Amino acid sequence: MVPSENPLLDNLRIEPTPGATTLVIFGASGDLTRRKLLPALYSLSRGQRLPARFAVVGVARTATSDEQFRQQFHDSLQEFAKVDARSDEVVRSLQAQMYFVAGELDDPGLYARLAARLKEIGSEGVLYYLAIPPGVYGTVAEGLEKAGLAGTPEDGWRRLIVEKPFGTDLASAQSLNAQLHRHFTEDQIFRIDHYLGKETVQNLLVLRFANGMFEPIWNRRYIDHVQITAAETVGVERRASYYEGAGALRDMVQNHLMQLLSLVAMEPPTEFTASSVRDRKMDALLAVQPVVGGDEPPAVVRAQYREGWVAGAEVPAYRTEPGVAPDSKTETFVALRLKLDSWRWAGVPFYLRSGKRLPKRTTEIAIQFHRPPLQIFKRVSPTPLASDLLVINVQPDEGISLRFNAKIPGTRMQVAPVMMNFGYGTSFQGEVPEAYETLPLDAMLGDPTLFARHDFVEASWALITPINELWQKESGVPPTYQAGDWGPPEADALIAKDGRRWRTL
Amino acid sequence: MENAVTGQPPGRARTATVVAVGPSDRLGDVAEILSGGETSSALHLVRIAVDGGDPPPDRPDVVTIGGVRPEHVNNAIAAVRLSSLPTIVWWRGGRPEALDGVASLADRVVLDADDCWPLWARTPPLFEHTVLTDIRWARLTRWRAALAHVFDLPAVRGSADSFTRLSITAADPAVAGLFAGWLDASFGWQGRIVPEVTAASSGAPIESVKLESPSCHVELCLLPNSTCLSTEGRVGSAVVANRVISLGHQTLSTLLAEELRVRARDIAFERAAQSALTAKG
Repeated sequence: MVPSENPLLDNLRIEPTPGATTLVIFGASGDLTRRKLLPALYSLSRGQRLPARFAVVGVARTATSDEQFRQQFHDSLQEFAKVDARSDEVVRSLQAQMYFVAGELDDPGLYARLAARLKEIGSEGVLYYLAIPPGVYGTVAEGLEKAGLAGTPEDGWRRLIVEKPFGTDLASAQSLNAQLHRHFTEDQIFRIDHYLGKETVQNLLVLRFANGMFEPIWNRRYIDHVQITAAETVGVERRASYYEGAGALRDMVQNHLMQLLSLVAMEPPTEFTASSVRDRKMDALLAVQPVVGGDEPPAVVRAQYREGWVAGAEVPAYRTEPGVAPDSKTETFVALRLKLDSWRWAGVPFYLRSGKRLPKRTTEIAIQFHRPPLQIFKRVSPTPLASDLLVINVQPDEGISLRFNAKIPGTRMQVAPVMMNFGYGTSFQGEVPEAYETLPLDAMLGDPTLFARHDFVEASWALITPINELWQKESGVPPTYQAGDWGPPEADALIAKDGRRWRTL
Repeated sequence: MENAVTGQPPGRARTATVVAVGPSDRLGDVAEILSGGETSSALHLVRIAVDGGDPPPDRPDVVTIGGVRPEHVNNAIAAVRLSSLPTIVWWRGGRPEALDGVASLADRVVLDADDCWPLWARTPPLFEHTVLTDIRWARLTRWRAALAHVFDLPAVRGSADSFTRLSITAADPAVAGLFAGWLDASFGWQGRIVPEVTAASSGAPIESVKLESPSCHVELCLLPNSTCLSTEGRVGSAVVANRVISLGHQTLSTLLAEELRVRARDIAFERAAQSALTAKG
């Protein structure tokens, strides 16, 4: 009789590791695998987060031997990971457990070969990572099921990680979910949103629900409005073929910004479990009112960058980037105002904006509080009072800042805003794990808390799709903004209409 | 951070007061050791010399107190701790009896003395007041995890009751005792298996661990480069686990950084230390 519990795991400082696992990467020759997944495996191994029996099987169309795949792993670490010579043995040990199966994704023979290889390796758990275009998710899921590789075995598990974009509109997201659900159950499917793997995003839950002081003021009585910004300095880079069909709304808002919004707006979960957290996030999303089709004109602005200067370098206009159509209407910037129909948030607007070629790379959530009801220092202080502000910085410098007013020392009563800063980098030792380390490990452990559920994805598309459809119907070109500016004047007008302004970051 | 610029952020949220207590010659490198573990920026650092001597100079932001009588160490700590943050005492030496007073004031005590046995003997009643561990325990973190991961495999776990022999090669008998104590407490051996401890030729605090039964053999072994650990599990003639893992950096800075992260009571250490003491007799 095998004891069900491992007594050596009690009080182990290194967090739980999954049981014997094989990671199968579809798209093993791709960029995501080289840049993110393989380096993440190395980091997990160095941190002793992988199980005692762990193997990787790469799957791709290109004929590649096990040895070549092992070399690819080595090359990827050289290029994208901080490998020190002290860890050579670790790398070699991981390489010895790496295999490759080549074939076309619609060829049943591929799955038969994969099944044979998995049987040879003999792991309890198999995690399929689909680092491939969403158009073939269904093909792979079907191929796996037909080869008997999808169902949960009695003494193990089979799970599937899918990457974004998860659909291009509501109908395609529903269709994709339906395709996957034909072969895998929802609790086997892990839809990755790498924002959810960021430390600060997880800390948002801790900030709100592990402290007694924030939750009582986290509502319309004390909060004036919320601004969520995801700004990039880069242009479309090498992703033009994807980005032309997506744009800022679908690339950033539908997934990342909606996730952030739901974490800010959600009610307290009853416990820290995947279902409780995801249920409350879903409630928050369902409270968001449609942007299109209400009494007011849609509070959304799109724009495209012109040539300009970013960080001192001259950059081209979006339409002249390689791979972009000269008459492209794809938006590289979007700003919108969302209203939540809930007891907590009635009357508190959420302003979201995201864009490329903005002056600074930053993602933050800013909670702006109401000013005091009585301005008692108005007569004595020549300086106007700033609103209190809580800023949750998601990237690049993960941390939390609180702005409040203080008296400037001196004989006169002068008030000035001061910031209290908490930064992960300075307050806690150790490296912050990458999202691509945290999330696959969670999937191996079977914890879906930080993954998007099917209904969340669909609800988010239900909000975003009508905006996109509206834009499709519009003739004429979208407004533009100079690269290096914080978006077009129309975005300023959108928030100014409510008597507010965007934070200058 | 808010409008961050490259370089130092405008302010730092402190996370703890760390008080290094010990003879003056063991307090000279406090800030350096803590900086090596990337911890010092957010710590309020204090040194208290208990031998009447003056510690060598340190960074200007480190508070230094000399000439404290050993029985009054807790009094000195009370004066310098920050009220709103945890106080962590890094015990680098001193009279064992003084530990009682320190433990009543500190939220966390990390023992780092050459002779650990008299300190461990005093710890059982202290565990109720403070989170207390020994730096030697941090040396074993990765060894413990490596062994635990092998026992994640059902084939190995099924043999847990049948082990008859434990061999440890270690340069530090206390480290060996702690590891054996951990296994004894975890498996409930109650002294049934007496560890065979051999002095390590490499000088490494711990060099290898072998756990054997008629049907199962598990071995952890430090590789010649001393930075990696090989683990092997065999059931019958089948190798069920075989891999190399990194030991990470085993410098005092890194070990201490790990200890500072631990803020909750470490029952595994408490049991392991008690088992080790019992085995030593």
